[in-house]
Amino acid sequence: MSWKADTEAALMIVKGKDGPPSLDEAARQLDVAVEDLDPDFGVVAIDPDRGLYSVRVDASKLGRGFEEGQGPFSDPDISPMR
Amino acid sequence: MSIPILLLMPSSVASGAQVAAMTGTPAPGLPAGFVADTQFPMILLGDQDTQSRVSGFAAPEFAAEPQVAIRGFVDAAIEDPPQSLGGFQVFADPRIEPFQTCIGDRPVGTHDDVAERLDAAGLHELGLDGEGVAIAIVDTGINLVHLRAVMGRTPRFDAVNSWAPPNADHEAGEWPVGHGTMCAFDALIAAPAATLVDVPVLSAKLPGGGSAMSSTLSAALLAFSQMLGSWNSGRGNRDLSQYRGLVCSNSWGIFHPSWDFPAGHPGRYCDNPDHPFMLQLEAMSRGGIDMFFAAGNCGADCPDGRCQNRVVEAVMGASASIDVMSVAGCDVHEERVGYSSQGPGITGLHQMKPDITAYTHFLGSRAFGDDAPDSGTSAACPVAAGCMAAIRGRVSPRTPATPYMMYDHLRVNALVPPGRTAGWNADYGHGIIRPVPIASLFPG
Repeated sequence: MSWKADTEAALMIVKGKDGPPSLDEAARQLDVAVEDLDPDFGVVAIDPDRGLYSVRVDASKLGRGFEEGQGPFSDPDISPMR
Repeated sequence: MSIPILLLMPSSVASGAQVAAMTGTPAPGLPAGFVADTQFPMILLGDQDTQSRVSGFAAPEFAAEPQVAIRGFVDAAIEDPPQSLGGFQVFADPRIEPFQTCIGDRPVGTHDDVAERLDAAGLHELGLDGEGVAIAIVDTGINLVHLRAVMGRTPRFDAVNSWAPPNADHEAGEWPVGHGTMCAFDALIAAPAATLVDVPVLSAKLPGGGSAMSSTLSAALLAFSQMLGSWNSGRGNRDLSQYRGLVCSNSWGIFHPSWDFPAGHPGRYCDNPDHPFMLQLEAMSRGGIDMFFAAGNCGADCPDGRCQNRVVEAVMGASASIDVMSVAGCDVHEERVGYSSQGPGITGLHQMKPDITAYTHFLGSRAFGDDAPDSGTSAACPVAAGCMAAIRGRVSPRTPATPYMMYDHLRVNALVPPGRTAGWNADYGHGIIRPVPIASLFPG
């Protein structure tokens, strides 16, 4: 699929033992197709020392039964404090 | 208890009362129980129209005589004061305080006043001006042309290590003049020789923000990931690891929980220490990056409209993280601005938020017009970040002086605001930022 402006996204945490997992590996961990991950976002380091990374996923493609702390997490709008 | 009041009375009675009070003699016509304030001159009230209006409150026999207000004291409970004394109307003389600065108000002082309050000159005498330290302005983007125009010089700028959002339509340092430029200017008040790094997260347009293209938290995740990797690379040449310190200024956040997943959802952001962004903040501070966030603009006195009048537990999300410094705002007279979010932090995150206060609402960058203030906790945050950048010129986070140690120093050495006691309070946190005492702790 192609990511569109109105795609509802969720953040998920994926793991990597020796550096970040590839997008394919991240998709496997979440049991979604790689096309369901935001390619512009890619795999983002959250805490590399603990092997934690994040991806953005089309929320409509996510199943259930994820590990505790894996997601889905909100990706809220943010705004300047002025 | 003795409470202050104002009495309206004919001038002849008031004159006698004041003379009697000053000489300690009985005052003819003075109501029983009223003690005149000898320091307060009687005040003739208004013109003829006013005279006729106020005379209605006075005893009829005095109605034709000019009325005056006289201050004094009466023994009464503040909850149940008398309505009249001896036939004269009693008016309250309540305690008054300065109006708090609100969004839309004119500037209070200038950036020169801020520099003076921070003792930036004292920092510079110690050789601390931010040289060799990078300040990442995580915002809408910086406009260097504007900064050059208002500062009269070109600030140090690192285009190579600035962050570009996916599909960015501007180069680093060339974003439209606005919020990010304001923050950059304010960060340089205490650290004029620091190097700016442009991180225009708020101008990122990632899909998936709901029904419209919008800037979302994931843009910050993306940018911080690059920043952390560059800072930790250890290469020390062309990336962020070349700097003695890296201070990250964040003048953004969410204004209301309705922007987030519903309460109780395990993936919620605003009150969840396990959200990936909160985990990343911990990694940033642990990695040696000094993290500053604006506390928010949902103060009880005059909250931003986006707060939807929710002013309790208003310090949320990253601003309530234990891994960052959360910055409230005051004006150059050390008065808290009315919109500055007050603690404690949202339930689920750290309670003693905000951590500290810095100056805001001053005439500075002129990013929003020649007469418009640098305002919001948005301006306070980079002011504080600049102070840290100046200190980092002397003490690197790669020493035992970790961000957490420096956060503690900022709290402990903060100025106790006027009329407050030492320690944390909901308005100012631990007090108003003072960088020189901290710098002095570390020998040059």
